Amino acid sequence: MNNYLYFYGLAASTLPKGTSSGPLREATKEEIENIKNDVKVEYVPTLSAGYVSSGPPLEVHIKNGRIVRCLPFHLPEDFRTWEIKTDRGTFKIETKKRVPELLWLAYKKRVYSPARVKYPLKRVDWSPDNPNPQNRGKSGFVRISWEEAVNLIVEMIKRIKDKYGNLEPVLVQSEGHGQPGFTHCCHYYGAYLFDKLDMGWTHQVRNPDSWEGYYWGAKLAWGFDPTVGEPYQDGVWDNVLQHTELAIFTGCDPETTSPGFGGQIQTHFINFLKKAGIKIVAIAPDANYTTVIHADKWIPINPNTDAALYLAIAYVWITEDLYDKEYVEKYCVGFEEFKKHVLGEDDGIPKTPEWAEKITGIPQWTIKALARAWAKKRTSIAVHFGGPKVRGKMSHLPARLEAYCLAMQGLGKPGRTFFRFYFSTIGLGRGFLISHVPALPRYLDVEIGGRLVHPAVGYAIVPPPPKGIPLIKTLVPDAILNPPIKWWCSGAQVNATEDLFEKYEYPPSEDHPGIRMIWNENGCYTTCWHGYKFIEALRSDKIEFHLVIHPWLENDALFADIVLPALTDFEVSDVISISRQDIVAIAYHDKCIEPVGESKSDYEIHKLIAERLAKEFNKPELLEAFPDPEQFARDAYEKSLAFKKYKVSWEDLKKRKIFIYPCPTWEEWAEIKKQNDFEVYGDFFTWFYKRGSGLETPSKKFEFVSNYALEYAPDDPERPPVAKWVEHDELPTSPKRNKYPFQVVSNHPRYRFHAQGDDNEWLRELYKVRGPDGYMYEPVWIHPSDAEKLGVKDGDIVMIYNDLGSILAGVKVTERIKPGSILIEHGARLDLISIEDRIDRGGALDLIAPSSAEKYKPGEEIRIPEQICSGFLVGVKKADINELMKKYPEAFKKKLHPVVGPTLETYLVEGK
Amino acid sequence: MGKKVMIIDIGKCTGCMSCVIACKDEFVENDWSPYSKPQPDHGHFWMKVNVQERGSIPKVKVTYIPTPCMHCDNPPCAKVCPTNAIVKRDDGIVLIDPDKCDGCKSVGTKPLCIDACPYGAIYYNEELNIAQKCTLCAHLLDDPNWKYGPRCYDVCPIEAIVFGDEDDPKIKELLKNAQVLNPEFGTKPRVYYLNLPKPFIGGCIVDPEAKEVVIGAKVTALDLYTGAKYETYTDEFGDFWFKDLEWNHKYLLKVEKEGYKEKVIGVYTTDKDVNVGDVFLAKA
Repeated sequence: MNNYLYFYGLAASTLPKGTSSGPLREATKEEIENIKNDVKVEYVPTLSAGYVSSGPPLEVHIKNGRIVRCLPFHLPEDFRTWEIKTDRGTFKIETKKRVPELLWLAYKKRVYSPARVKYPLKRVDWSPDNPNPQNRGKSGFVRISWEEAVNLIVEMIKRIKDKYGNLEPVLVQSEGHGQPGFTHCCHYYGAYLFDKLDMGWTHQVRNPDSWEGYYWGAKLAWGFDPTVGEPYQDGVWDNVLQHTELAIFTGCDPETTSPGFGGQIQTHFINFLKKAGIKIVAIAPDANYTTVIHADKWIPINPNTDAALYLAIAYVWITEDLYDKEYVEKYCVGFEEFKKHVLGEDDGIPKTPEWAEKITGIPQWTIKALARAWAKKRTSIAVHFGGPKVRGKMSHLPARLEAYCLAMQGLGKPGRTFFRFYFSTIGLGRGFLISHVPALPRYLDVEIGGRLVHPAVGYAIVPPPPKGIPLIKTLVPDAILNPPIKWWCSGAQVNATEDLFEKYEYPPSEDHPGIRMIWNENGCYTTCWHGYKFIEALRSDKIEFHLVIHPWLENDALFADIVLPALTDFEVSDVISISRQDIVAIAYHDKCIEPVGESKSDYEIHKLIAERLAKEFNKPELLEAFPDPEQFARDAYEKSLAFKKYKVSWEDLKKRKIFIYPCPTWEEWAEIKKQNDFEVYGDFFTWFYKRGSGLETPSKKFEFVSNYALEYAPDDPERPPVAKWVEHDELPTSPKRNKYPFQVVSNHPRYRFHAQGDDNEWLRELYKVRGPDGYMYEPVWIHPSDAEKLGVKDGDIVMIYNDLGSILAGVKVTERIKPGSILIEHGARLDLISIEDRIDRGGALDLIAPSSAEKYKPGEEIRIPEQICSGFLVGVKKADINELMKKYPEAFKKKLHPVVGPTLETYLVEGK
Repeated sequence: MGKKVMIIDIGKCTGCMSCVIACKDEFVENDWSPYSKPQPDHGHFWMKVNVQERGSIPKVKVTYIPTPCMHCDNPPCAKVCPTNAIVKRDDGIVLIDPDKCDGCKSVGTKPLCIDACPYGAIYYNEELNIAQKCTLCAHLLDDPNWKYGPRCYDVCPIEAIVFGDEDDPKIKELLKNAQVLNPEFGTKPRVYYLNLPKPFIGGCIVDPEAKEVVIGAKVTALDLYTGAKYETYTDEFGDFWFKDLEWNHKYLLKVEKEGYKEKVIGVYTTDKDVNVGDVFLAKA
């Protein structure tokens, strides 16, 4: 900085004066016209979680067919918002601004991204007769017409039908996150189409990834089946802000994960906690974006070792008599068994803080201090959707042990709860995230009927539809490469706990052909789990046809035979169901801009194909399933409360653009809670232990020893009836660590939403690490002590590897990660240097995430088809980029954008 | 019309980067002549967030400092401009006239203003051969129909950025505690800050024999430059924190607790934040 002072020392020239407060010179008429705010304004839905519901909409300004700017949403100044009144003060979001997640503020760049698929593409050496599967991901694409594309797709569907008798060999991947548009931009229409077609299909069931350990484990202890194994959130903020004294964030990072589910209001809620005097303790291997700003205490822990921490905490409570004995006696079963394990009476190892220190890396004195603080203060655990949180393989054990600890301190008593930074309406009683009253003050009828219900969204999250053959998402590559596979649990998010022990098999019979064609609307399996294995499956000759429908040429689409160009919410007219924030509303928007290139909406694409299939298979009912899109939107709207109760007609909505539901006053909210039995009943809030009806466990009580496990799988070493410490090969204590010395932490990305948005020039510029070769690498956090050992510094390129392959990343040396661990966020876009040798320059960590199938012997039943996308062991070494360039010259000849990296052009075959 | 000021509360900022993106959204590919020409796709940060990682494991904090052009009342950029393209408006906004700026071609150098700005707020647009920077969205402020203020201010989710007239009583109140970045530059910025970072010293007091943290131990920090004495007690995790100390001072730290021998922890210089780590106390 001091260098610049030299200029300050110069003799001052005369300071030019501006002409009043106007511009620098008089603006021309055209310039005034250009600047003036008389642009066309439209709301556009935002939020990368998708599921046909929007967070705060963007206010988009359009001029001359171009997006000029995207503003946050401004509630009317006189709009009365909700408030929570407690003895600790009144809690209210004072600002009327509701700001969408960062990726959506930067969405203009994504709409006009150089990675957009602008027209239908065909792999250059694919044809129905000559699929050349071995060249998927290699041979490049050529432009074809919509007519040719649809003809080929219809022909492939007919071929599958003729060859195999039905369409069961078609794997439909049409669930998960994506754009939030209601009618046009959502990827659930594949399953919807095949269901209506009624000739069978294989249904990829979305696994419960964000609830991982709770779903596979904690459900056994406490049920909460409709809320995916996490406690209900009824009026939870009233409870926390009134009663809680200590909040434990284990891998919980609302500053990062909440905006994709509700826009950027999470900070207000974290500030509420602070205003209420609640202390925040963050436990994670990394100091995440919430920890470094808000936490009072960071306790670094080795990845995936919190099971040991919870056992040691229980040890302190038992030996120091610090738990709620009356509660455990009255409302729990099986505690004595658990106590034996804690004290080491079953295995000879008392689970002391000293024992846990060796595993977790947390000093034993800190473990003891935490245990005592938790017992003394009214303590809650806070989460957001965090994927594996601080966990990884066998996350169900720590999650179950976490539930045990909550129970030992009287879960459900005032201030002792489990809360999420999740503010959406959840559609009470609709079978998903069911509860009795909303998490925040809202009218019940608004909570239930305020948002719009989409006829296809059910394919994405609720139990598998009866006509599709279920295949859990995490096992797809194994189902293609090593059939038959057998596993337990459909994985569908809304299932009773018993389903954990149901047995499934794919293919469903011996003579079944298995998967032969893939209808891929998600486009990101390769960046979800064990991507290299999925790539191997995609390139096997079992797959006759791989169709991808996606707006951007990235990830799975690189391995497609045909790519259909989908478009963004900016390019269509549609209704918006705004239900993923604190305020509920419905809006309507006209098309902001013309579709980019020849792209069409997901709805239009499926409608187009449905029209052809209706003819080919003589099924006119298909046409009814895909009416005119405005009719589709209008039908949904006219079932909503805005139409039925508030009498806003469809035409009126189109004219007024937005209808915002009112919020209850604090007094009204108190009355709503009272009428719905939400009150302190005895020691509890009624939601937890409702008069006599109890929990969804066989005993109706909290089960330290699971009756389901006892009944269905009493001898399962992986998921024993009482949760225990179980060693496995991805732990810091594993001998495998000699070969792969680092545990990799993989959080939800700060500047993407999973794989969404890695083509965004503005965002990439904020965080990617530019290597010495000029390429923008995905950052990897390495502690200074490890960086020294590895001989690397900021900006160096490293290779991260295990038995499954390798990826490259750019080094960021930081104190924010525990020594022995590295951190790389998931979801970077693929840019493969070698498919055969499994080297990725993009830094998509999940390419090398182990599959759950590897835990079992070939042919053995996969008891827990979990995801393992964090906390696993890897090696790290400095990469020799020149050596790689010499060895793989072709890979380095790709045309790359200086900031965006690979684009559409990168993968087009020149001259065709 | 009063003069414009911006006040940024570092204590509130979470580093969400919305201001950076809103700025790009407003200026990239948009020509707001005569106020500004389009900002390049990448490389410019007219609103830049500086990130400071502080402390060491496990006492790590991050401070984010959004830094737009400071719209100085004594702007060194304007003084060095050979073409007088940099203008100070009556409302305090400093603008670079994109028509008058010739990228210092006439004097055969890269734009001189870039090096003259001690805050690093000016960028070179290679394609257009002009210097560019934050305009405080003057093109919007001058539009009577525009009600949202500068884009960075409008987009801040938690109102860490405040913008207004310096005569406004609310702004006046905030300005009482506000500071400017690097006042020693003497440029009289119109962008002010609240809660600019001050160094911390933290640590954890442990009884190594009992293998327990020591709760309620009295820790004192003596400022060896000023003689000021600070005192705190360890919390339920044995942690102590001295926050808001002075940069580049020396502090003598001592800890005492009944039943233990008093201990001098050491002397620490606050040229950066200090985590003294675990401090072992011996029984008396």
